[in-house]
Amino acid sequence: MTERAFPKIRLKLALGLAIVLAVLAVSLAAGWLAPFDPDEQSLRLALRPPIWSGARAVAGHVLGTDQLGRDILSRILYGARVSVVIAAAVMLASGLIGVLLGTISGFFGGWVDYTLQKLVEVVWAFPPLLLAIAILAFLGQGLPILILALVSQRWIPYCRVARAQALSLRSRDFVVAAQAIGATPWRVISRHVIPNLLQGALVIGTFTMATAILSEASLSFLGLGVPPEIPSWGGMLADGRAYISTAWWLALFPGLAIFATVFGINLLGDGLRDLLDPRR
Amino acid sequence: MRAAAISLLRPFAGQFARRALGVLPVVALVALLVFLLIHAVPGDPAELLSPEDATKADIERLRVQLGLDQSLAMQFWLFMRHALTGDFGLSFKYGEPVGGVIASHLPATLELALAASLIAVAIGVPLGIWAGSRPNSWLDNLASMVGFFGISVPGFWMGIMLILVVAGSLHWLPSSGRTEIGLDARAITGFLLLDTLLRGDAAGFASTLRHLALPALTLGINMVGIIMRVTRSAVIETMHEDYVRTARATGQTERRVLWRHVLRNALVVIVTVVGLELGTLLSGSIIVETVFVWPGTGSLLIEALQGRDYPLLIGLVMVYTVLFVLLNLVIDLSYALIDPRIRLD
Repeated sequence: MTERAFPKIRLKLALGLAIVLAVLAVSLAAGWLAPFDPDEQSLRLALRPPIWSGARAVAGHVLGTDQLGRDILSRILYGARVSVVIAAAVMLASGLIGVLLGTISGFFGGWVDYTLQKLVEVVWAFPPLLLAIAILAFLGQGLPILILALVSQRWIPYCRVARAQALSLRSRDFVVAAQAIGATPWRVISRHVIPNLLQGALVIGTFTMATAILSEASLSFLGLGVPPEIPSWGGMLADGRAYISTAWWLALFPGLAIFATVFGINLLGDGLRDLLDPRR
Repeated sequence: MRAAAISLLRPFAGQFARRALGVLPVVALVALLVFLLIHAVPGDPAELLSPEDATKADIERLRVQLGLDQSLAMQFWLFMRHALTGDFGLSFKYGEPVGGVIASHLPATLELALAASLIAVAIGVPLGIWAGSRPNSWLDNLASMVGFFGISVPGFWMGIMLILVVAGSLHWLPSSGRTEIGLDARAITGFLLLDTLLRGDAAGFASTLRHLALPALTLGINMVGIIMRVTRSAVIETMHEDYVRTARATGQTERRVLWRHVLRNALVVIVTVVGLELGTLLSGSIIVETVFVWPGTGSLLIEALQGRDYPLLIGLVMVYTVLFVLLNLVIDLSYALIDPRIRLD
């Protein structure tokens, strides 16, 4: 890390963290921040533009209204909840499954390793998002299945890193010593292998969150994501696409929300990687 | 020249054959996973998998078609045999063999994906070299911003915004379809750019190109970001290698060092990422095709989903996956050609 690069890393980390915390705060405080009930419909006030653009705008509806007269700003604020829940759940589940399976795979080796690596190979053979689409198409929809679908391939990067780490640790002196004094494999794994993995998992974790949010938006856009009655950014984009020639604000603002959030998470992840990996 | 190429390839032939054969069990296991997914559907799969307006006879036909009237072991055997021979039955909607329906939509998707990766490489690689050869300069910072934008922007949203501005307000480019209605669209290869060229149809070629521009840019934007970032770090890493220092010490110009020594060695990483991202493009095209009403396999997949056309859906999942697996195989082979130190097994 050069002297000159250091302030840049700090800037990335600070800006990224600020954006992520802001999105988190918005999702928690949506009830207080939102000027309207996000589901309140009013056909009389449908498709009104943002307040700064034109005479048809209505006071109070800062970012305008959608085709059912619902307030866009309120729906974006509430929509942050879906993104935050998805990002957190997908990251935790992927991390847990991946680190556990990867550690077992690398530590025990033999047929356990062979079987798990075959599983990795097969799941990884699907193009990204396609396995998720297939799961949602065959198993039905809803939040739990959506999370399952998003996790279906995302545990693999953790698994790879954990396996490699476990393989290299298996023969290290302190692990061999622990085993020699009679520590059970589980104790060795939980005390010695997993703590060594946390840094790498942290960096993968931020990128997992970013891609989970983007994938959720894509799936909601295709009508495979969260149920339409829950406000979500991807779902709003899908609505907005139909009105793109008459009401641009329907598609612009939820897309900006996704972009800003993912941008923040990526900045944070990049900063963390630079900080934790001194070779860069 | 040709003999030289063959003798260059010979040491890889054995490795390549082994690696290629290794694809078969993976495809078989993928088919098994899809089989398990279909059978994880709660309730009577034949009824659930039928379109909503299906008659009792339709449901029974599907039951037989999917082999659901047989024992589970027999079903599995039949499914695998069909899946591995590419026989997925008849599409509900088209009433034709699924394979044919997919084949007629595939060129549109491949054309789009190739155009997108061409755009992404043409922008991403020079930008990455530019940034990586002058780390922490303002050029680097600017290029890094472009890279960050590329990886963070939801591609399909950018597509919608492009439709709004470039196609809607400015009327520069068309927003949907592959070519103008009324122009000669008979398929020779199915790749319209190639077909219009083969016919010597200049207007058709221009129209196809104009229709391709926005969807290809939309599909390629995430890849631009990724390629730029990977190229940049590969260049920076290679710059610190001993052989680069040696090359500099021999008095070569900086330009020559960059192009001849740095770039060649950074190429393995770049090729890997381009290859991997091509797979991402395949699935990304599902959404981009929906946005731009592009008549490829992505639109077909959404159509199959919405119409609950399960034979077609299963066929598409298998075709996409086999394409992806083959793509990875090609990337692995190209490593060995670029960098002879890499062994495939």
